[in-house]
Amino acid sequence: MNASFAVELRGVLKEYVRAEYSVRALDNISLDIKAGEFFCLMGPSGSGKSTLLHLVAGIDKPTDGRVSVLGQDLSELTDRELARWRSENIGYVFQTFNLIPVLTALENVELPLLLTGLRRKDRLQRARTALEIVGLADRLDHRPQQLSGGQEQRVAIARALVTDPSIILADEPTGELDAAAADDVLSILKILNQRHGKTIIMVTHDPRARSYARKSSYLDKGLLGPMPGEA
Amino acid sequence: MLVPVSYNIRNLVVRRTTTLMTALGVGLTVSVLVGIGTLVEGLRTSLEVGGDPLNLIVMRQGSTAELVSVVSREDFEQLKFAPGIATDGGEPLISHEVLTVVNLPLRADPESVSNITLRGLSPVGTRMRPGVRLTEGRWFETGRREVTVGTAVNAKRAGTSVGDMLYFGRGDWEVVGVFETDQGAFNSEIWADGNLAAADLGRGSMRSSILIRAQDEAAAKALTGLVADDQRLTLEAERESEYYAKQMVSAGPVQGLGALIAVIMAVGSCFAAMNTMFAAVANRAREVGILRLLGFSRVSILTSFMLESLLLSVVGGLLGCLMVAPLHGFEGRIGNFTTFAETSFQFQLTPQYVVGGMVFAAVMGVVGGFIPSWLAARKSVLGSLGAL
Repeated sequence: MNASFAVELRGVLKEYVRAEYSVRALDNISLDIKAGEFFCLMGPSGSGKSTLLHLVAGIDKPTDGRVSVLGQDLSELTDRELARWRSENIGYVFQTFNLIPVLTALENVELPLLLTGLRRKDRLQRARTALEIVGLADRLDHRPQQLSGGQEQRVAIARALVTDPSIILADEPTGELDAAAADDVLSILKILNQRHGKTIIMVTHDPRARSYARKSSYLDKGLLGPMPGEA
Repeated sequence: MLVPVSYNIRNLVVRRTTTLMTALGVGLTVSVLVGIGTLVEGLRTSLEVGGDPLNLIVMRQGSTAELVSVVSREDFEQLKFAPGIATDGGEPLISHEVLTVVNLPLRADPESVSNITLRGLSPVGTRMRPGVRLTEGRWFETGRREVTVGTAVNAKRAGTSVGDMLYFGRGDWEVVGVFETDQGAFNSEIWADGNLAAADLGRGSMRSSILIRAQDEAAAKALTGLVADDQRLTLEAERESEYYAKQMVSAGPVQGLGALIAVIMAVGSCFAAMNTMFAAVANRAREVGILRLLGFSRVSILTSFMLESLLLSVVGGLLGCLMVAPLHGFEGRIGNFTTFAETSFQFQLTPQYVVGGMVFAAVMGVVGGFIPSWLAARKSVLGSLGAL
């Protein structure tokens, strides 16, 4: 186990077994991602990209192999320990934002901090700061439906970074956005990587998004390889 | 750490139509239960206050009510000077009483006639009921064809105002006063001179009962034993308060039917709450997934949805209590199956029934909300997010 790696995958196999057939989503994957890296994972739909993110986030378990994140072998943690570990170390950004519609932007960002034991005043201060970082200091009391797609995604990024996690996982973060909003979101992720030292692992179809990352890999039919044309 | 309550409250507000309909269902169920409770409480108050703890009522053995009891003058004379009877100015507090029913029409609807209890008392009879007081006119006089009527009779029945003449027995009786008790059953009675009433009704020396005021608790027990042990009397004595408590039998069917209806409605309301919560859980599956992903435990999710169901039912409970609130103080009448007369009472919405109704609503919320909440909590993060 190397301390300089944020993520280490060794011989990871993931199969989804249904009644009459099984699907191999990841096939003997070994991957190292350095701490402080901006890593981009590309590949066609159904190639296993999101599955890999789920394993790193600890919300799914491999059929075989080992997943180690920030030096912690995730298979050693119970469900409860995993939930706590995740809340402290992982921020997650979705393609479809997944904000809680009845809560304001500030409340959405405050949500993960409820698990930290911070006082309300401190929670709100940190949530405001996170929203300032993503450029939404003037949208604190807006509900998700009062925001544009780009703004919603920025709130989601603020929610992901508010607990100051080491790793931010972004699953198609620009998939629902127009070009300008996508650039905004990618720029924020780049700033979080370069200025704040966050490890960013981004799954995307978007070749332009890849240009923000420093390292990329390509996943196809569960097999990991170099980007096509770069072998 | 729990999911913030504001999340649940706002979700209820967002789904306001569903929330309101479900809460209304729970509210109607609570209103039936609490409404029946106010009726029973009113009746209980009405009949309980009718009895004094030191008063003993003596009736023929086996009689369930004064109306079907026969007690002779000889029986009365034998008991009149028994030891332990309280006195007032040297006069023993014992009243030989006759009871019957007379038909009187309603003031509001003269076509509607029902039975009202007529009580003939010994001269000391009115003084033996210390809670009884005159509100208008005067007491009837011994040897005169006069009556004093209870407030409930005076309020509802035609021809019972002071100065009016009532016809029963062998002729007219003048209404000379109105009395009241603290919502006691006596408010629904008409009182007259016992001897004159018995003669008018053709009872001869026979009456219905004897009322005795004991000196104290020990004397009350001794007098009860004396009546039971005296083989010549074939009478039995019981506390007046207990006697009136037994009259609550008329409320029994109402209470039972009300409870049955409330239970049937409660089952329906539980399913309504369950349906609402199933819909809430289904609509918010992704939100559950997000909350789990952020680190909220299964217990937090279960508690959050249970709390939401509880809030929903508490709103329903409050609605139910509000629906019943106007009944408080409303005057009702119920036929007494034992005396065949009508008893007036006031609906009583007590804090106990409000608390009981709210607890009943909460139970409906918990029962109805548990399965959907449990299903939401046991789903995997990926299952909730729709990735599986």
